[in-house]
Amino acid sequence: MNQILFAGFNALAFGMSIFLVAAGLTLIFGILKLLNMAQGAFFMIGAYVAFSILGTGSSSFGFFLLAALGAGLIVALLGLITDRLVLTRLRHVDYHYVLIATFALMMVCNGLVKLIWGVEFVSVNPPTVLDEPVELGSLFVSRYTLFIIAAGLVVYLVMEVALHRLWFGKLMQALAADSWMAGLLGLNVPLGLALSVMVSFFLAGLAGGLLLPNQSLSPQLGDSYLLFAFFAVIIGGLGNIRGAFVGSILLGLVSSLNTVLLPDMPGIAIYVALAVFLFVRPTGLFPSRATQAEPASDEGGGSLARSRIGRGVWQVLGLAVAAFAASMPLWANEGLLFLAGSTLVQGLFALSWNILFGYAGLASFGHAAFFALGAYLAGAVLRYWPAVPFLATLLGAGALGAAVAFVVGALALRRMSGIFLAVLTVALSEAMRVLISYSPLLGREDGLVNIPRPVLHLPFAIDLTSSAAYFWFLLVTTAAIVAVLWWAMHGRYGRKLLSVRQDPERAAFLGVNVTGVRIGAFMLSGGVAAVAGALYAPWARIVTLDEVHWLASTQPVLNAMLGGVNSFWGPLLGSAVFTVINYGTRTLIGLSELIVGTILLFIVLVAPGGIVGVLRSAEAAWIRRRGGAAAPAAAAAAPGAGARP
Amino acid sequence: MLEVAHLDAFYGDGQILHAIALDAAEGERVAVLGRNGAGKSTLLKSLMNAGPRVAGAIRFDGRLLAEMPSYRRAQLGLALVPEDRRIYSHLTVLENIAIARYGAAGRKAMEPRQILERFSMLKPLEERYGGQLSGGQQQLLAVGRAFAAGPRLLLLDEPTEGLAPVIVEQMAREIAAICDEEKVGLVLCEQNIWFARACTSRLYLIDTGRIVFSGGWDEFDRNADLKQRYLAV
Repeated sequence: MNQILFAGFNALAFGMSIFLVAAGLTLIFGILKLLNMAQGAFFMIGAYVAFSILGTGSSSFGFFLLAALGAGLIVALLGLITDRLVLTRLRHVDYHYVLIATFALMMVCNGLVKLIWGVEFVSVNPPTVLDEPVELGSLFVSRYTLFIIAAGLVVYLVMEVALHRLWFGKLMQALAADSWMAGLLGLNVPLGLALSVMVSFFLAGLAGGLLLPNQSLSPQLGDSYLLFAFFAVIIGGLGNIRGAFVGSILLGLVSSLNTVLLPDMPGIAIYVALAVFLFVRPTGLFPSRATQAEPASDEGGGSLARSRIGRGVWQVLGLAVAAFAASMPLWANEGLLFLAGSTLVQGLFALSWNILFGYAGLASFGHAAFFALGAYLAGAVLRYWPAVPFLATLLGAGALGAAVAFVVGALALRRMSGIFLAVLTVALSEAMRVLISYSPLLGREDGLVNIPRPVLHLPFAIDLTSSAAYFWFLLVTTAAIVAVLWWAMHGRYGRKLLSVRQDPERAAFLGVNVTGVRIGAFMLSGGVAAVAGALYAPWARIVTLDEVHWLASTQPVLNAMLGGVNSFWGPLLGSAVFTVINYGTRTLIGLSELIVGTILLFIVLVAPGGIVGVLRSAEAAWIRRRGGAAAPAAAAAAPGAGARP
Repeated sequence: MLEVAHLDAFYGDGQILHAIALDAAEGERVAVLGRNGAGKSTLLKSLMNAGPRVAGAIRFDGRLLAEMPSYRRAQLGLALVPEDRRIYSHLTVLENIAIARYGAAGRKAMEPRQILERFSMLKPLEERYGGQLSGGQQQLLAVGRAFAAGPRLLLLDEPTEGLAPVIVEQMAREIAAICDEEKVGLVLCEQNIWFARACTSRLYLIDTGRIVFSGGWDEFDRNADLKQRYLAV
């Protein structure tokens, strides 16, 4: 009996701490329709700020509260800066770009935290008054835990009353429901939106301050809370305070049951529960209209853009690049060759991501899960079952990737919302990380090391053990896959994907099975990503948990955005350019998150079309300038022919 | 009070309005008539900076509005009632009117309850939520709501669309009366000629984004082909 009570108490405590983080997340989504991937990072900054105010020793209760409030206010100010610099510029673009921008912001924040506060774990005691147990009936519980439960309840009640009872809340809801009309009625919309961003960030900072004690504070703190907060708002229904509250408590219960029933595998039940829940009730407990809205995007036709420069020129250029790459094993040193091979793999990986984003209009934020799936599969097979033909392993990796993508896609895409996919892919990569870290076969935290390179047994044997041989194999395989994808994307299938991206509703009216097409694209994308991973394992000869980290998931996003998501070749170009950037900044070790995040943020804000986008507008300007001078002459020479030179 | 000169408006690369010139004196009521797709709604949205990209000069009280955001224009006394009404479904009728007070920005304006008295059909609906109203009730509420800001120039976009004839007549009387009393100017975009004539003193005709006629109702009546050429479907 006592055990059940205790489990229930823990469930409530864990649920309330999740809710404290989820409250700000769901508020900003409700009003701005913005899923803030950086919420966890700002929560963490709040915790660090409170830590800087408090120090590690014990403090008085009042000072503790003051520190938490201070953390909230400072993070609210950061929110204002974020709003001015980033969010206001993205109010009218496709929501995927906003997701990517906040994702980049998260990395910038994580990098900054490491820079300012270091990577060591620190722990802070609760204030003296809360630092002792209290007897509750037959239970002994910590006062601090009671305080967190109370804090969660207070935040919930205040938000409920403010949003649904007070006039201020009604104004906010009006802004959320129809900000266009609110502007016509004379409401200061930019101010209102900035205020709601600040309140949301304030809640994140406050939560950081309140939850600081009893944590081991480290730069990973944000990740885990963000994920749980995501789950809570998805279970509750996005953009809904009550939903976030109930969802948080449910998650607390699941996690508590997990510790009682499955003590060997902490943290696994939540993923299972989320999957089951999404299958049964995809819209959450309290569905809001906001999650259904899926506006058409007027961009995206760019993937079909044709350069004015003749195809022959590009073909010659492509052959030259291929020949250059093929010659590399003859003259480049080991290090350079390794970078080149990794670039090929990353290019393929980025291409797989962009099939989903650039063509089908869906963003995955945990694409590393598929890559890691392939990498671990290939690594394990090569190590433990060397008799299996390597080409079969590659095919198997593709099939496995597609199968997992099918499951995730079927769960996330039944309701037409890419936001679910964004969250679920993040969840997938986290679940993968948790699972791998429990598996002795896959090397737990240490990864798979000493992966042998394969020998191909075609009618004749090809030994790929040397770096040169495996590099050529990589080049040929990548080229073959890219060729097949090019053919698919430039045909009927690619056009179907583009039609779904541009306007899912209209595509559905025209008889396209939108959900089916999306799941199909996700399977193709996941399959190719897994193959890229499988190619990578014997190349690097080591596969570790880094392959499933946030950073690994961001890499294809960054490479594709850098090169240009509206172009087939963009992701490959972006991968090459990023390798060069990375090589140039290799001495700045430890700053990788900051650099990657900043570049990504910069691209989204300044040149969302990437390098290809910049080149295209340069080409268009050049042609306009030349055309402006040449057109009269052409028109005079051949009337009517001027339109199609 | 309102002077528009050489106004062009664009959605993306498409140009919707071409060199529009239009003016309305203090308290004057003018109509803009034109077919579907002629550019009437785009014209009103351009005046509020609420959607299309705009080039040209819009002056209000002699002041160039340029890039001013729509909420500031509302606070100056411009009030647009969009054709899709946009009543807030989570607010009651009274609250829907009260929320527009912020546009008054210190000007004297009618109290929300006074507005309910004026638009007699709204009176019994006071506590009803916006989402529970019929289309006609929403239209009336949208017009009534605009008066809560104490507007100086009302911009009405096809208020009669989808309304029963008897309500149209009542609405014409109420709008004309309240505009006279409160000294509010009006730019009315319409296809209903009868309604426009009942509410305004002169008119513009707009066709494919260009003003093709400007003058009094007598002159419009004398040129019978105008109606045939620009309004007949």
